[in-house]
Amino acid sequence: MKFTFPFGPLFLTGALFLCACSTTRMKETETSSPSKESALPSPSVNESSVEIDYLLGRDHYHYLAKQKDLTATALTTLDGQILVDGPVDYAQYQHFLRSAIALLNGIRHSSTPPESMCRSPFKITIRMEKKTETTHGCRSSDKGAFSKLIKEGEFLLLYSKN
Amino acid sequence: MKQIWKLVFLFLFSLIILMSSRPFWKQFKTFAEVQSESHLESRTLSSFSQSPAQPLTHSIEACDDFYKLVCHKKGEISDPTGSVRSDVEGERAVLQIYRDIIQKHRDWEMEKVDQTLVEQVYTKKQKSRIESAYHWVQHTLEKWIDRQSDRVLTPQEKHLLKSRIRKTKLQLPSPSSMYTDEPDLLTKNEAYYERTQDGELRLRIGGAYVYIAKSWFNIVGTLAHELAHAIDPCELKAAQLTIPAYQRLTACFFKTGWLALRKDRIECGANDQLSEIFSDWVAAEVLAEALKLYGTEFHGQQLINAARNSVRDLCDPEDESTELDLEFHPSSHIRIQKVFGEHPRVQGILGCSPKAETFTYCTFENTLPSSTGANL
Repeated sequence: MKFTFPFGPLFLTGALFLCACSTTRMKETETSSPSKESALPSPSVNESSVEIDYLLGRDHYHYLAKQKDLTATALTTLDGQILVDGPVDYAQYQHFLRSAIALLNGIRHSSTPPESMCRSPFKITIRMEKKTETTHGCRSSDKGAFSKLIKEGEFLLLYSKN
Repeated sequence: MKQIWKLVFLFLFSLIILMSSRPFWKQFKTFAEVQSESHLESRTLSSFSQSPAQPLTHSIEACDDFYKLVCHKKGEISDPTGSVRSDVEGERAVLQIYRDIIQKHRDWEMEKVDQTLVEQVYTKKQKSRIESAYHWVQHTLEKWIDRQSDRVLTPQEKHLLKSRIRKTKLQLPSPSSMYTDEPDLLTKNEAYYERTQDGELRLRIGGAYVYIAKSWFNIVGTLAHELAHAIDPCELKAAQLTIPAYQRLTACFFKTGWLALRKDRIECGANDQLSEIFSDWVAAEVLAEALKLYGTEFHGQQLINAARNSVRDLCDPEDESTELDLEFHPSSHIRIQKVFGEHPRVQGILGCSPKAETFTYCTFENTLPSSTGANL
């Protein structure tokens, strides 16, 4: 009995696409653990930074991670007082920068209308060389994406700090 | 002989029934737990009363300028149940734990790191303290609602409010995946109430708060404030519910100046402090009950310190250059002095003289149309 796929080439293309996507997802999963980080390409900028200001309750938090040439540092503060600061792993910083860019783009392209009353607002500013991009968002309306970015930032700081 | 055994059996049976009675058990357990978990673990109940009476160095301040007594004093204040450390200290401590785990296990996945953090921060002992305090706060709030006269809250309104209190669940990890949609909360000193998109009402507590919370009174004050959000005017408005007593109360908040009247205020929207001042007001009621509970066990200075610790975390940050967020929260002076410090029952427990008759403290009763106390 002959078994044919009427949409053979289309199916093959689709299968190849799915394989590529799943491979990408696996790589992303692997890179979420620092120990399994694959080598990242060299940066295309000499200077960059990710600056985040956010409010939780009445507490003001500030997070800043920056890179110049091949060195990177970060710090996090609460109401103006430093919680943790220090040099960070360069490759990890690049990964964090990409995550921040993805979130910023996600917010900008989101079709969700902005909340009329946001109790936990945040602001993300990304600088790459002389270019600056800023966006505002609300913690309660992004399904945890912002919280995950903050966590990644903390991990970056603590993983690197000796 | 048979009679004796019958009596013994009856006695034991009665004891079991009595001890398993929830309100009784919770009251007993709460104090016993408080006693065993305070830094004065070896002291018995009788030793609280027998310790030499310390001079009430802060009693006048407690009556006249409670805010100054709470916020202008540096260093830790200890009450018999513990103390309160600053937000920054708590977060630094938890981040240090997190760092140690990460550094020690650099090959671990983030999920495993988080779970280990949870096990070290949300310990069984700390969780038990907070859960016990939460049940006590729920119970106290329900009793407070029931105590309101029918002229203030109808039986239906009382039922509605109590059901919202009961429905609100306290969510504390483990597992760490419980906070998977808010993972950075594990290192934060934040406690908050939220209504999810599915309509679930819940309270979540940040790891830094769980780690450092020692004073039972501060835990009660924090939980009472957050739980009060389940019945605050804005939550009821979102559920399309209206309670006349709330409207009168809101008018009183404006009259006393507790609630800022802003031109750009949108009720339950931007620039509105209504839900926060309401929660502070409810928390003050609950804290008054908490202080009354230990009023006969703690002597003067201990009680004053318990009152101070109740609201110590509401003080402004030490760094005066920090911009204060007053969009949704009233000033710390209003919250600590006006709402809590000048609460008539709190003042009474602290041994203060009654205020002048012209003094108005917003209550459901004195905002009734025929009340004589209110000057609305």
